[in-house]
Amino acid sequence: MDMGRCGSTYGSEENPVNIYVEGLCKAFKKKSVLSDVHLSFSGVYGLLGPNGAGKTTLMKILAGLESFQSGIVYMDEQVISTKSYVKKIDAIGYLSQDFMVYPELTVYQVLEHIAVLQGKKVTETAEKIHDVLKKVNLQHQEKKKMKELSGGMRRRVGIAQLLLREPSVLLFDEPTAGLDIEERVRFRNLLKKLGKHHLVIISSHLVEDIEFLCNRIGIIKDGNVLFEGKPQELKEKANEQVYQLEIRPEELDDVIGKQEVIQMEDNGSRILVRFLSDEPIGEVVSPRLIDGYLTILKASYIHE
Amino acid sequence: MNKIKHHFQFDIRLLKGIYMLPFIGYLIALLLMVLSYPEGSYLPYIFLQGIAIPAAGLHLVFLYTPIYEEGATDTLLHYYRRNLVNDLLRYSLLHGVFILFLTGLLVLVKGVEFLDLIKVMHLFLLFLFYQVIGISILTIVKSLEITIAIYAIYTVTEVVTLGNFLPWPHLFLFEEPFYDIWLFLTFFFLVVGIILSIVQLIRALK
Repeated sequence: MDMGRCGSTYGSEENPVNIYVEGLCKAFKKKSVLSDVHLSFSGVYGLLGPNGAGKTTLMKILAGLESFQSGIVYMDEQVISTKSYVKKIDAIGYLSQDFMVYPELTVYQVLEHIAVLQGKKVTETAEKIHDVLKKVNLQHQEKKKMKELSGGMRRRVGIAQLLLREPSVLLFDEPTAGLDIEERVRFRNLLKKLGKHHLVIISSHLVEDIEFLCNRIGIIKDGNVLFEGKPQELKEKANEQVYQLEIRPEELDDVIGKQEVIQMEDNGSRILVRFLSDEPIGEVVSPRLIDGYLTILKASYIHE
Repeated sequence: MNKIKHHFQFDIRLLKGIYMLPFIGYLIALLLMVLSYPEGSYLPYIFLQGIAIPAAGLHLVFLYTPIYEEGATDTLLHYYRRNLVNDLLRYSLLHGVFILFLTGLLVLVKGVEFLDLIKVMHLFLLFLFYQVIGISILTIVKSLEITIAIYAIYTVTEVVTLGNFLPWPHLFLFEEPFYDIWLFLTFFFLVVGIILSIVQLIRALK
């Protein structure tokens, strides 16, 4: 089977594939970047973690762009890795956070060329390009030069070129980083839409994006998996640890000094403050995703 | 056929005026070869080796530079890897035609006996070498400017000093060859250079 040519070999529109990573290790200059990583990617998967956690490395390994020392990667039941690389297959598409190609050429020219590089016949490209541009809502920008596009539009061109080869898996590294709020909302909605027909893996340090998009979450820090599960399970990690206080504005500095404040809501004369605490202070409230994430990170610092 | 046409059209669109540089190199080589005719010297062969053949290797260097532009590597490397052999063939054939034409002119200028087997093999290996060395350096230094600097400094220094200035591998023939160690070393360095360049290309684009 020629896996490099058959993007549609894996999964289908109705049943997107799953990816399983077992015992993945990677070290760089004797420093461990990923250490015995076991993860099961399905649905729309959010990979959370602080900067330098190993998220981008893991994404690049899955895309076949970086090597690893040991471990196995499966797509459904099929092994898609060799001893040190995930095979470069069309079924997996990776979009880096700084995607930019051929700045002097138009969107259409870029997509046409990439389609030909992918092995498509020149005569078949036009229809396909219009189709993917419509999917990423760029149908009116095809004559614009790449360098004239905003960051969000550029990334949508990045998705369009991935969709040209009909991948089953889409990997997005920090997809909303550096986008203004309007672009961010538009981009998130597009990712949500793509998640209906593809396995989408998003790496981010923005909990808000993950909360909006993902039905499964993994947290890594310093190359170690700290958590994997559903958003609800992550929230439950902070049960009985999130408290809320209503304070006067002049008390705010004092509270910030004593507690790890996660969120504030200014109601004019009063401020509603949410914070993580091991001691019961104020009113206990139901945790949100960010609370669960912070609780797990906090626990990992304690173990260090 | 449509694909080949598309690739050439795209390359011209991408490089714009820069696409003409190798052809300007040919024009200069042609003029110098014709102008050096009355002297009956070795110069026409030096111009063919030192200007036309190095110019023939520039297209692929320019065309593969976008891989190393910011934000493009992760996307383009995957696609260029697949098309490398096609691109090498396309441009080797295109420039092969021009080099053949200039070699024909050399035969016209110097007589058919000038082009013996050694020179034919030398021209062929030098042509292959320049087709792969530039793009191979590019995959190491990842910068068009540095690649062109290395490419030009070596070629210009060798040609201007007729291989007498620096103690590095010499790849050109500046006088009628004898079967001696220097001729052997020239061929040896050419073959080693071609092999190492191909290995580097496979390694970088795997």
